[in-house]
Amino acid sequence: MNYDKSIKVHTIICDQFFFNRKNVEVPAGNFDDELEPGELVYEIFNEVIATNLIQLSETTYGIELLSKNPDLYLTPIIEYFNLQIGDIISKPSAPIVQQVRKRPLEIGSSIAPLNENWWGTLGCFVKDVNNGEDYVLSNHHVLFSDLGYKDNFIAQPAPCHGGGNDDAIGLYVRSLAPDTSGINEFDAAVAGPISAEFSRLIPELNVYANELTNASIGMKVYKIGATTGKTFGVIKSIISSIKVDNANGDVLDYQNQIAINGTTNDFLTPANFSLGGDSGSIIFDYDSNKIVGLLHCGNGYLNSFANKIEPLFNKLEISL
Amino acid sequence: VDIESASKELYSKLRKYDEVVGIAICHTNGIQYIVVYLAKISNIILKKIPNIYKGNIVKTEITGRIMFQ
Repeated sequence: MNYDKSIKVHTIICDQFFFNRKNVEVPAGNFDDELEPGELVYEIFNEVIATNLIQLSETTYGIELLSKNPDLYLTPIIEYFNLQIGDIISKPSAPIVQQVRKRPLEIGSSIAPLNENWWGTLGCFVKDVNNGEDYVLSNHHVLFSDLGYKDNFIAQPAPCHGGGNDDAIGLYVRSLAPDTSGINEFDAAVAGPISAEFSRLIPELNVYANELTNASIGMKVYKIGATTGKTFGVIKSIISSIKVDNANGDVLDYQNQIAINGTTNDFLTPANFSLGGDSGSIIFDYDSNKIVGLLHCGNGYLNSFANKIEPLFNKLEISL
Repeated sequence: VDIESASKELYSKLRKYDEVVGIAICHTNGIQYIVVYLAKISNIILKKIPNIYKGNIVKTEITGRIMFQ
């Protein structure tokens, strides 16, 4: 299918099926009724771990569904969206393990305020330059809760992934909060002091996340997010200004952002880089494993955006 | 006018349009250019975006809307 159609289908898949897995109500007496096509698609998406918009040829695009099931039933999806065979493909994948309790705490795991039902990503572990306390770094829109509780406890895993009181790892401390009426550069927050054991090792690599570096155009990068796990991309711009829609219907202005185009691990084939819940992920330079950015937004397809890390650390008064 | 100033100036003119969701400075093979991000294809908006602005190449990219994740 062409690019425009693939975007439309991928949007519907994400909005209606992948992120909106509803419990389908079955009225009494109808237990033997056959599932409606849409309900069947819901059922199938229960087995899907991630969706990627991918480029199949110079002009054609497809949607890749990652699933634990090597024989994912695709026919109802193809019929529901009136697609051709090959427009949607499935690929076996190990389950994403970021949405479970991690002790020691790990980079890339799911995190959220104890009383909220969203989730984001634990970016990395940092120190307060003023008092030396250990904190976790993520986005303001991940760690901040305006429910009005005196203490905003942060849980790992996020409560929507089973986190409870026993999983609290610290308190929300401070933010570089976005301003709806001004121009922003950061969406960052720290929580702590960390009350659980934690590891500064980058998961799957025996390397410590202990150095920052500047982003540059063409740099190969990766991130580990709580929704899509480890994904790859290439930095396309380091001077990017964007308008970001938030959940309240506001549009926030950002400048000096890093723009990342998602790819597969060959750094050439376009692929999804981030989805909802990946916010707060650290962007790593693929070659050096140094930290270059903090992911906060994207279009859900090929484009993602991150704050520059060095000015963020200075402004938030943190260090590694 | 250097490309960064040109990009800022162009964005200040285009930001008011709902379909315009961002701007970036990119380069390929050593050639710098401005990319205007659009939420959707719109001929009305495309007519308002010059191919060259203050001596700098301007391209467009359809990104859709950008959301916090």
